[in-house]
This record gives sequence, C-alpha cells and structure tokens, in this order.
Amino acid sequence: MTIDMKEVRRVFKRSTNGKMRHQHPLSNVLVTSWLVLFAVVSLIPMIWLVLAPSKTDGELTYRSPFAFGSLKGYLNAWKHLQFFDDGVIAKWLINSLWYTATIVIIATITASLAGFVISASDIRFKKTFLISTLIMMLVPPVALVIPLFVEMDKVNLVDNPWSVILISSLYPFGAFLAYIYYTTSIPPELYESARLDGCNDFKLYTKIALPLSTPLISLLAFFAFIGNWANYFMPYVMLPSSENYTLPLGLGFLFMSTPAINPGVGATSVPIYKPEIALAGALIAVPIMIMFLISQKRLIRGMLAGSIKE
Amino acid sequence: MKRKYSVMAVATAAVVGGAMVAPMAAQAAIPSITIWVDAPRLPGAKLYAQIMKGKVNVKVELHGQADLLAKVQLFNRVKKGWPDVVFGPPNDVAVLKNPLINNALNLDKLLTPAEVKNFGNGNSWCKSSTGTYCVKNDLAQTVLWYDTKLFKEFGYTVPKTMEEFAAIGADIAKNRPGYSLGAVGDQGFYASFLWPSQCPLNQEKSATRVVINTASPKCTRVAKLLQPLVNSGVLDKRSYFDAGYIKDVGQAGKIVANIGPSWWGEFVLRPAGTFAIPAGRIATAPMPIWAGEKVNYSGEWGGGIYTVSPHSKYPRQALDFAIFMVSDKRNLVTVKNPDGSFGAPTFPAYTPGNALWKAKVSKDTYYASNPFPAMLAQSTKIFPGEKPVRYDSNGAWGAAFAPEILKNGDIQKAVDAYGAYVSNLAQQLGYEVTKS
Repeated sequence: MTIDMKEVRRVFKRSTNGKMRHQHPLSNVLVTSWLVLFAVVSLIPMIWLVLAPSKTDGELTYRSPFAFGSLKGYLNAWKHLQFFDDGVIAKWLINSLWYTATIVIIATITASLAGFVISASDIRFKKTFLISTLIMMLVPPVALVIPLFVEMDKVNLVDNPWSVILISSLYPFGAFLAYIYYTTSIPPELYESARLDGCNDFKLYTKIALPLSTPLISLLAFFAFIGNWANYFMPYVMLPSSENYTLPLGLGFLFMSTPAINPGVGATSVPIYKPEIALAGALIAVPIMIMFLISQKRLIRGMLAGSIKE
Repeated sequence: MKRKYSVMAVATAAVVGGAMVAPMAAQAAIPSITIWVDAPRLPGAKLYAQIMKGKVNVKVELHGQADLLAKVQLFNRVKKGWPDVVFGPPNDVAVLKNPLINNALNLDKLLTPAEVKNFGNGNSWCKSSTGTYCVKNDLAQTVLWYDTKLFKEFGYTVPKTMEEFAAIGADIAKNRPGYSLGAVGDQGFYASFLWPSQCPLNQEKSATRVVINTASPKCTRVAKLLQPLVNSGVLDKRSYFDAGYIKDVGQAGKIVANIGPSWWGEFVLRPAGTFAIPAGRIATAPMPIWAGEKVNYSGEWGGGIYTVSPHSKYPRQALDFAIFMVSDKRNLVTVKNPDGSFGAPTFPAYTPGNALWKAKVSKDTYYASNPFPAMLAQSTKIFPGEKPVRYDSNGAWGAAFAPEILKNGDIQKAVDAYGAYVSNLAQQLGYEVTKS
C-alpha cells in the first residue's frame, strides 16, 4: 500500500499550524523500520499468491516460494479451473461482479440517505434510529442466519441472488459513517439557509449534502465493496446451487473438492491442484488490491474529513 | 348448418385439447429427483441426467462434502429443499440417520436381494442394528503398496505378516538410512494399522453406545510393534501430505513400501505434485496379517456413500442413480473426466461394477504388475467392527493424534490422546462410552 504523502503532509501541516515538530533521527529510523517490517509482512503473502500459479504443483513443492515458473503456468491453471464443472468459475466471477456491484450501489445510496436523515432532517425518533443502527452494527451476522434463512424462504428467495443482495445491502456501519460525516463536515447553517430558500429534505440531500459528500460516497462504496466482494457466509447459507455461487464461496468449494489443500478428499479426477487454488485466490484478492490502489486518495480524504476545524 | 359447425368446433377443441393435455399429463407423471454430488462424481451424474431424459427429470447439483449437514439442518427448518440423493463422506450417515436430523432413509425395503448381494460385505459400513442407511460408492480398502525396484535392489520379499513388515523396517533402519515405510502423522495410521488390527476406537454398538478402548491389546500391539520404526524414522512422524515429507522422501523415491488405500497409487504415488514415482515400479500385495489372527483385515481411508432422503417422493429413482454410479459401464469406464481420464476414479463398491473397473485398471502400464487382485482380495476384508459415528472421528486424527505423535513420537500416547479426545466428543453427543 502506498500513501499519498502530499495529502498527509498538508493535513499534518494544518494541524500543527505550519510548525513541524523536530523529531529525533533515531525515532525516524525506528518508525521507518517498523513500517517497512509491516509492509514486508503484508506484501510477502501477496507476492507469493501472484507467483504461485506460474509454477506447476510439483514446482510449488520443491522450488523457492518466490521463484517464477512460467507464463504458461497461469494459462494452464486457468485452463484447469475451467475444467471444473464446465467452466463454472467464469460464472462465479460474473456472479461476484454483479452481486457486489448491485450491493455497493444499493448500500451506498441507502446508507448515505439514512445517515443524512438521522443527522439533518427533522423526523421524529432520530435518536432511536441512531441507537438501532449502532445495535445492528454489534449483532454478528452468524446470529441472524436461521431467522434470515426462514425469512428468505417465506418470500421464496432461497437460492436466488436477491436474497444475498437484499440482506447484504443493509449497511448499518455505512449509515453511521454517513451520520458522522453529515454531522461534522457540513455546517448546520448551510441546511438552515437552504431551508429558508425553500428546500425540502430531499432537495436538501440532493442539492446540498450529496454534492459535498464525494469523499463519503467513495468511502462507503469502498467498504461496501470490500465487505461484500469477499463475503462468504451469507451466499453460503442462501445459495445452495453452485451456479449461483460467488468467487469466495467457489474458492471454498474448490478447497473442499480437491485433495490439493484437503488431503482428506483422497481420490479425485478433477485437475485442481495448488496452482489452480492459488489462481482462484488471486482472482479474489487482486481486485481488492486494485480497488484500494485506485481509491486510496479519496479514502484518505474521506477518513480525515471532519477531523479538523478551520 | 350452424349445428354442424358447432359440433365440428367442439370436436376440434376436444382433439386439440386432448393432444395438449396428454403430454402434460405424461410430463406430470415423470418423476423428478435432485442429486447432490461432489466434483469427481459430476461427469457420471450429468451423464445419468442425460440418459434418463424423458423417464426421470434429474437435476444435478455440485456440493462440497463438508456442506451437507449444515445445509440439511437449514432445510429441516423450512421443511423443504432436501436433495433426493446425496454423495458424501462415509461418516455422514451416522449424523444423517440420527432422528433429530432424519435425512437418511432406511433402504432395507428398497434394495432388491440382488443389489444386497452385489454390494456384499463392502456395504457393512452402512448397516446398523436398525437397517441399511446408505450404499457405498467406492471402497478405500488398504493394501500393501511397494516399490518393486527397491525391493529387488534391497533383496526384500513381500511381507505376509506384520512382523515381516516390521522386520523390513528394522533392516531399513540398520542398512538403508533415509528410506521409509510411510508416515504416521495423519488419518492414514488409523486406516493402515489400527483399524486392520481391530483396535476399538469408533465401534458404535447402538445409537447411544460406542466402544473406545485404546488400552485393548488390539491397540497396544500396534504401538509395540511399530514404535521402533517411528524411533528410527523408518515410519515418519509427519503426515504423508506434509510438504517436507513429499519432497524429502516421496519425491526422492525413498518409500520402499507403505500401507495405503486402494486409491493411493493413482492419486498419491503417481501424480507429479505428490510422490511422482516413475512408471513400472509400483505393485500391490494383500495386507500383512497381525499375529494370531485368521483374517488379514483392511481398514479404510475414504470410500464415499450415497444416502437417500426420507423426504424424497421418488426414493427408488434416487437409489437407481446410486446403482447406476456403481454398476454402469458408461460411468465406471467410459465417461470422460475433467483431467482427461475416463471412468470412475476409485474401486467400485458393487461386485459387477468392480469387475468392469478391473479391465480399466489392469491394463494401466503405470504399475509394475496388475494392482487389482490385491484390491479385490481386500475388498471383502474391511474389518466391520469400526462404524460411522455422530462425532468427527476423522477430524480428530488431525486435532489430537497428529500433534501428539509429532511432538513426542510416542504411538501409544498419541493413540491415547485420540481416544480421550473422541471419548469426550462422544459423550458430548450423548453416547455412553464403554471399554467393551
């Protein structure tokens, strides 16, 4: 991960009124070493994951973990993955993309709206809504599995992607984040003057709050993406048919179906070995890395938003 | 005239209507079943769906073996969604037949006498005092796998008793350091030594009683005979699938012999990712017999099962699928697998089926000699005392036995640790644990 140092310096400079504190050179060395250590620890598994599919199953055992096999290795691993249930992995990839995209859109819009309403509107029971949001954040999803499954069954949505999309679009953390943002970053006077000019709540949101909340929207979308792209549990419960699986669920399924990782499976005629599993893992991990790299600038802005008063 | 047209219209409507209703009625009469299989069984299941078109509507779904129990419990909540027939790991039947789960039909009334005969002893795993709750797909009976090249080079003869097996180990320790008779740090130790020795570890006697007795002489003799081999490293403390063991011993061509299941040659000894032993070296022999015994029993490592759901509207059609998978040439020999191989990957549990499979494996030039006769000989000698149990008896090898053997290298202590672990699991699930 790289950090936008200009942005950090700008914020740091502002928060210290332009006066940089003098730091001992040793502390700089220690901090840098500490950060380098963490960077290395984080990077090693990622590098291994990207390099592993280039090798054959045998090479993975006897060659160095960071040795590069060949480009053909990636092609072979992909070809073998496609042998699995007539290329169902492509379907899993498409499923992951469209489920996640839909969830990100719905969750971002609803969380932003909810946060705005709790912070800026005049509706009753605002405090109750806020506390409910906090309570929802505290309840672990596992605790809700059976009621949610029964509920989805009642509306005939079991084994239907919309069961996962609708449930996962509930985004209390996002609503709380939006509430914090709208409370701290947009002065209440702005809302008041807009109201005096005749804005209702919806116009207030669309004309005032939304244009000023680009960092928030990026942050909400990013967290929604991370949480749902790699979500295993909800699709596992709601989607019994393999053609509806997402990539993480499919990867878990590959783990279970082949002796590559799970020797207990024993005999198999499916050519899924360690390189294929690594490639499937990379397919899940790489989009998250790319997403993070693309959005880091906006994320830092979003995370720092509201932290200082000018 | 008007009346004539009316009669014609009614007649036409009747003909057209009849023609439409007839196929709909026929369609409604076609049974529908849902099949859950794992990836290796998928080509056969899809083939079956194709063959049965017009006779049975077959929906094939891929599932992970570890998923079944969790999914069935969810289906039980909403009282629908159960698959009609499921392929799963052998121990699942104990949980599925449990009245609380109730997802394994008693097949006693469904199986014909010919089918019962054809499954033979191999199906004793599925039988309990109350009925037959599954049918076996394949057998994973243990046999002796040995490297003919190394045997010839070192002047060894195929051991017929466990004492002869241990004597080879002693010679390796003394004269051939670095060579191996296998590894003991996983479930393979149970299938290869403890189970064939009749050590009572998971002997379910009823739905509420299980015998676990690691102090039995049938257990202690295993530790006594093999401990020197573990001490000398001839039996490696690691798992067969430990990357270090694969690299240092398996791929280095240092496994002189080992006891392993019938799928061992095809899926462990041969593949480049595991031991990669070159063609023309590997052969099989029947299990060495334990001293004082009349039968050279095998254990099992794997061997999947089919269970039919008691909620199925078409249990016979569901069972027919299982019979197809273990008996039909199109699945056992000719169906193309994703890796380019053909037919069922493992030893079929059905007599006519394994006769068909024999033709396939017998002409495989990888082996130094035909591996089938030893597999066939052991297929009826899987010790029937060990039974499916409701707790995770297989996972316990990794959780309790392997860490202990790896740490201290003491077989008896590791077996005792396993015994204590599964006794605890059994009691938590309401079993009474007894010593005999």
